[in-house]
Amino acid sequence: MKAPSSRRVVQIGPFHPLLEEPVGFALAVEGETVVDVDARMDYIHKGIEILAQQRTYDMLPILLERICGICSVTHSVCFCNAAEDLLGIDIPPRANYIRTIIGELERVHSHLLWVGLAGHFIGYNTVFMWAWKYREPVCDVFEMLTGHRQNSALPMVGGVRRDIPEKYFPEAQKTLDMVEGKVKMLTDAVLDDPVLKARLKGVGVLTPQEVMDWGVVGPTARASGVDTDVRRDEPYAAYGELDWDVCLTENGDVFDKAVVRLLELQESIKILRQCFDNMPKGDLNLGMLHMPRGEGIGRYEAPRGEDIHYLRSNGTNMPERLKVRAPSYTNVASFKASCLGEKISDVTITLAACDPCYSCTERTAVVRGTDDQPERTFGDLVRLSQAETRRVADEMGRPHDLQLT
Amino acid sequence: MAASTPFLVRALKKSPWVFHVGTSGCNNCDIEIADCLTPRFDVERFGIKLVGSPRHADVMLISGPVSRACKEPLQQAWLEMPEPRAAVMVGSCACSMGAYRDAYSVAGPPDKVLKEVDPDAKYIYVPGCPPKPETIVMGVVKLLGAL
Amino acid sequence: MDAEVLSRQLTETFGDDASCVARSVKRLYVALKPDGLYPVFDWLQENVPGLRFGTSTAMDLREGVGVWHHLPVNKTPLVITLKVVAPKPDPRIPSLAVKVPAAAWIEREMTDLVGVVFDGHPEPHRLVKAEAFPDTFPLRRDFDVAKFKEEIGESPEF
Ligand code: SF4
Repeated sequence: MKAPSSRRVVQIGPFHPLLEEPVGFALAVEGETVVDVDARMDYIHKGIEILAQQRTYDMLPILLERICGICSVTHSVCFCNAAEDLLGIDIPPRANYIRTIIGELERVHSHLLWVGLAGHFIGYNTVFMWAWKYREPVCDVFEMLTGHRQNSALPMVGGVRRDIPEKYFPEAQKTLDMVEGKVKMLTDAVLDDPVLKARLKGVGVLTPQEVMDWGVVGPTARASGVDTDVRRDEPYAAYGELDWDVCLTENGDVFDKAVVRLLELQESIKILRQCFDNMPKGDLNLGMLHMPRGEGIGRYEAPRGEDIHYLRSNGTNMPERLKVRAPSYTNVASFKASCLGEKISDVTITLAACDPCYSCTERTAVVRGTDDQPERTFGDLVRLSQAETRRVADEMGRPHDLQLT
Repeated sequence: MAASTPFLVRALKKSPWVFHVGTSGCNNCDIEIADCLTPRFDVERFGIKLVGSPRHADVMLISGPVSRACKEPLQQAWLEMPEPRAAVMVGSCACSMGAYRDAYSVAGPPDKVLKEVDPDAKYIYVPGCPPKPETIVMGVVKLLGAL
Repeated sequence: MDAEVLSRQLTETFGDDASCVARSVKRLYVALKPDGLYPVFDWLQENVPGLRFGTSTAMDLREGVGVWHHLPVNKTPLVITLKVVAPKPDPRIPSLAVKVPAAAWIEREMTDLVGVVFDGHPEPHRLVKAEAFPDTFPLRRDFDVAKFKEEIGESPEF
């Protein structure tokens, strides 16, 4: 990005801790205000779509689980939805319930992860530790039911591969009760905290019009009051039979995005309880299926929004083309709308608010700065953001123990 | 390895500071590494601390295959680490490329990439997709034992 | 709004320029010529409430490079797919990024991977390929990983 003299370019990345398909960001800033954003996506481009053309339909869900660590169920079930759309079949009810259970467990641990990291970015490290602590039991339930903490390898075209043991349901219910209590506590803590309100209200606002223009999906769109949820719009798995609500808020700022996710956590736990109680008996899958020529589109509501897979088959046992669009792809592109005009200390939390898959709290930024471009690592930005929270808290005269990390 | 005296190695083992590089993996490994820091596993009680810059670190945790764009930054970060230094390859991808073996945009597994710039690089493999946090901690501990 | 109704309306308005196939009530595929893309997209934006840009798929076909724009509609299960095929030696298609900013990234990605050029794209530089990446298109049918590695001087085995 070329910078006129009054502008400076701040590089974020390339080892950027936030993103599913990692990006190098260049922010052009004038003074403290962000005036332009540009992205580079080549760091983690691995060419999964091309690998997918060399795998059979049976192997594909396993490969697709490895697109993203947190959304492993998302991509494999979404692919199955696409294949089932192509075939025009319905799968056995027990398989539908199993897919719902693993999908919702994933949503719970993913949202908890987000809450934790968002807390870290604004300097509330206690929230970070809490949220991740309560995420562990959810991963344990996942492991109890499927045998792995995240990559279950359960979905296959036409159903699921293995059963999940019902003898663990009571234990899982107990864990969910515990997690629900903690989620309520976190929700109350967020809604009541004046410092958080002062810090996050009105930051990184996306208007409903911007949401539609940038194709933003999932909780990020619902925080702006745009009513979209694939689970309700095009019910896959068991969502059509269960009783749950789509959570909406209106302001579209970072605060509302947090609120939507916290409310969704409670909905997810409600869905999980219903699944455990009403689990139907019966077949798990339809056996091996022949894939005819044709094309199909699958949609899935990932923790971060709508995931789309397009599948084109030529009658052989490998797809001719598989297109994968993860929700973060459009959500991240909308930074151009949400970051402009923000202060640079608000950038991390604005970027974080649409929950691009976090990988880790801190990777490196090995950025070669030139003479007129300062080197700033992502860690510096997080520190700026935390300092801002501290300033807000001090101004309000509230006692706090916020420390810079 | 001019700078790595027995004294420095002994000091390193007391409190190894680790630095994490995710090189285009699927980020599940990265999450498991971050998990090690959270209350359930809490590696800080053993003196293992995650730091933000390679210049402060003794041990590098690498996850994922190395994409072409990540190759140079990874080598640069490795050379910036002070000696004695060592690496842990976390996950099947970092050990053997795992699911991405045939991809066109990866430059190779991290061990080969490190060997290009530092032939005596020391490292240990922790396979699993992703390895559980316990396994990662175990990997770091075994590495320290072997130094 | 379901796919069959929409398909009838589109055929009434555009006649042969838009050949619609409704595979089921929730999937509508519309084949267009490159210059028919803007009018049909404008019409859809006006007449289908809740239409947003989902994503696009580019693929190397026998007759040219195909670009499929997938447009989901909020609050309904409907996904509309606009199919445009650009003939091969020099595939060019009008850019949708002019109309919806959401299309900007995916069009850059398609240019990188399949080599189709989007006329009028506001920022037509690379997105997923590194600057140093040679000018080949990995999603073309004639792309071969082993040959590619040989060309850039890497051994095919690690
Ligand atoms: S080893 Fe598995 S979990 Fe780890 S980065 Fe590779 S694919 Fe992801």
